[in-house]
Amino acid sequence: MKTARIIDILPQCYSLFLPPFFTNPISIESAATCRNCAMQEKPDSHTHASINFSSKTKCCTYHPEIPNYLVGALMSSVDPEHATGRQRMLNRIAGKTSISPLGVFRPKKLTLLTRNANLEYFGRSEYLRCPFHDDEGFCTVMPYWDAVCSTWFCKHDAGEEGWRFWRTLRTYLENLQKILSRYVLLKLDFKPPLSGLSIDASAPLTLQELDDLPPPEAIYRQSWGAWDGKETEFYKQAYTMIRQLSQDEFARIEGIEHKLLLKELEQAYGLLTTTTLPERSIRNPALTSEKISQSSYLLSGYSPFDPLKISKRLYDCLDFFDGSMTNREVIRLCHEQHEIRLPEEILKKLHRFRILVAADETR
Amino acid sequence: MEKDQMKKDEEISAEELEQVSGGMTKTDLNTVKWYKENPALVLESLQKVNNFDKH
Repeated sequence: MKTARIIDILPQCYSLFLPPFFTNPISIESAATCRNCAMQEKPDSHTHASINFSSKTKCCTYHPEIPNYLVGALMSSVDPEHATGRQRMLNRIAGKTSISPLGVFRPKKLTLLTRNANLEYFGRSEYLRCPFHDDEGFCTVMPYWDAVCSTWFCKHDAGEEGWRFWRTLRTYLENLQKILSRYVLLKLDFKPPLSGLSIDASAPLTLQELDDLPPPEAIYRQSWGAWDGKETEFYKQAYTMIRQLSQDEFARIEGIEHKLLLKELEQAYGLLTTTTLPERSIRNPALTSEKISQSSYLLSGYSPFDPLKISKRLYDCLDFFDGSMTNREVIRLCHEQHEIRLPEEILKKLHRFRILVAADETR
Repeated sequence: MEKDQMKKDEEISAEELEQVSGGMTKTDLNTVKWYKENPALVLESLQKVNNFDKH
């Protein structure tokens, strides 16, 4: 199992000031093989009718919300691997659509579309493909993407606990992006004042937003103030400020909510790194199962993107978990009456993937 | 002899429950909560700045 420090999978500019928790190791999600997408249909797929992602989009039917300092990190990068990403970002900035001193955003039109689309769009809709996704299926701006892109995986080695950890980290990073992008505006004594943040986002689309055009010139100038025409320089300045942030300064500005989010993250990490079995288990009542051959089944307990293929004899054992016996008694029953031995590690995996759940969870 | 019978009195091995590529076939995708839903925390406020004309 390959591991990395949590901090090492995040943009490097965070490394100086995030708390010591981020030096903890995390296993690399080995089943979520982005380069050889695990959700694309393959000749050896278990079934040709399963949920698959399009090779043209993979899971990137999501437009990131990149905060100002990460836009600046990308634009400051001299890595040739980011040349395409930098050019795309330059084009975006030059086009003046869905950009502001806070960062580069998802066009509001796309948000409305995704909120109102049947979820089959996810991983399939070419219209909703991320503008930073290239034709070879790779991201051109990684790791200067957003909290969602950093933490979303189609499959998790640790099942639901893995999902829960990454989802909690995502919430932490979203809040971090919010704090830091605003910190930049405050430090730069940005004009116009931050009162612009209180505008109602639920207002109808403007003509410009509908037609993917920049906002009217006067409004654009107002939002950028003295930085109008120097947007790229502004983003680079934001990056310079954030990468110089110290631990003390970060602790001073992060606020109570962010400290609480760290507590939640530490808790999710604890659950991820320790799997304890309940005394009694039952087959998950919400389990989805499909018979895919005479000797195997496909089961999904926590995510339809991450099913487990299990043998028929193990599938048959699941019926013994009805909460009337302890796990130990079920293991003994399987062995003595059915000549099948169920190791504890197998039970743990069944729990991590929510094939089995604690008997008292459903009471 | 059936493969399952041959395996009797054997320990269930890791190969008997494995992650596979692709997803389920039967799922109603609209019940799925595991996709990249738009972030609720920052999205609204980030977009607000983009709409200065909505004062």
